[in-house]
Amino acid sequence: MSVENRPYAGNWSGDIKNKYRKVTSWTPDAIVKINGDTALPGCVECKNRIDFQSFITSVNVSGGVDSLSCDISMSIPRHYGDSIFKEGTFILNTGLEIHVYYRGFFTTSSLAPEGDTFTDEVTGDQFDLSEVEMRPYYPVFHGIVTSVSYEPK
Amino acid sequence: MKGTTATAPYISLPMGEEYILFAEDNEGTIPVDLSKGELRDYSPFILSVEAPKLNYGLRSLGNNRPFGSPLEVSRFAPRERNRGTIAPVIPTRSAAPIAGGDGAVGLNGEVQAGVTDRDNLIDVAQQMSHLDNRVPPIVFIINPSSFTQEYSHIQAFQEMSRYGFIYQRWGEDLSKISITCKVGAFIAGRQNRNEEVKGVTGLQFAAKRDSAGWRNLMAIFSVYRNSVAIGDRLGRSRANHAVGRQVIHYDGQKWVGRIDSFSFGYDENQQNGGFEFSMDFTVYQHFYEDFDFKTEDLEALISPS
Repeated sequence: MSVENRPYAGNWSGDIKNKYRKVTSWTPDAIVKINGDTALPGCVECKNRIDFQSFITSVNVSGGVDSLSCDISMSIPRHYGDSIFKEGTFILNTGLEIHVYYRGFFTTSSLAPEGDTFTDEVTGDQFDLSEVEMRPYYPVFHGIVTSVSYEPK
Repeated sequence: MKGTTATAPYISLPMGEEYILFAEDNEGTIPVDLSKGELRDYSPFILSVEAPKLNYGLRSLGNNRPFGSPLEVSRFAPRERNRGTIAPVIPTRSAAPIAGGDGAVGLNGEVQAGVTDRDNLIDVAQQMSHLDNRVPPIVFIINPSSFTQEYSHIQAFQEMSRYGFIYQRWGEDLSKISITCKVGAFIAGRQNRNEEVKGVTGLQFAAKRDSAGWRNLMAIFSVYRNSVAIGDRLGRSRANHAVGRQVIHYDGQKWVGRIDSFSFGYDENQQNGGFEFSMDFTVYQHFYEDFDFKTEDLEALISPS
């Protein structure tokens, strides 16, 4: 792959006329798993679960040769109404296991076994699923919660 | 693909959870286009979609009928996932949750499939095929009444040194296009003269949904709302799988980019249509289609003698 096709090349182009400069559009995404799931048990009586994914406003993972850390910010509305506090304690506390996955930049095929085909019953289109490209998610962080703070607003 | 007044190919594009358009075209009524087609033919203003550059494994194209009945809307409905959770799941070796979990819905220790699992691959393939093969270009029934191109440079003349301001320049910024258009009159007619129609005909506000002008507007609006995105229809999140481009073709030129904003509003003085809508567009690439030939393809002029 040439330098121009690298994700961090931005708008840079070897074409000095700047005529065929490239604008790259992609869809970054992050998924956070707490204790191996995207949700935690909520109200015991109604056996609900609290999906924290919809509250996450930012995920920041920074790594170096000697340390790896992650900050996750959430905004939980007051009217959410589920048991995010149990016995006076915030449900998210230290010791929880965190996995963070980022969506990759490059597309990958072979995500389904070779020969796996699908025929759309409505349109009649036939697809070879092993050739379908997607941007897979890659693990970028695995650790435990060391501090939690919250600020009622 | 030719343009169409059918709304089904457009309104079935995923537009997020909070915005859903329905094909409200009434049976037996047809849109009436009062504009002059010949004028449009000379220099049509066309908006098309350019699907993301993803291979979606298409082996054979099935029933390719973008001009089927406008009432046919359900054929692009997302497949349902065979489980009761909407949370995204990804491959992980994490064990079951440490505490709690017993009895909680959806929390179990089974090995979970991925965001790139079979269901999602099928969903991406279906959406890509729809964008690539079944979304016809939209020919504006009425060409824009104003078309503005804006070119700007990225530069700064702010930082101060001992000898005055420093002039810095980074080259040309992405250019912008702003257009203003008029929607046609809300007029619909009978498909068959002798049959009783269910919809509303004639020139009136009630005929809006079946009018060519409104359908044209909704098709453009759908392309704006969908943003040529491969949506996460199974996870129901806003994390689109990929995004493509919108393309404007006009006056022998082609602008590839994205629609930034879109607005329209009703006016009490124009209840029968004829109101304006506007659109801003950021250009990523600009082509002159008419001049896009090789010199060796040119043939010498034949002498008149």
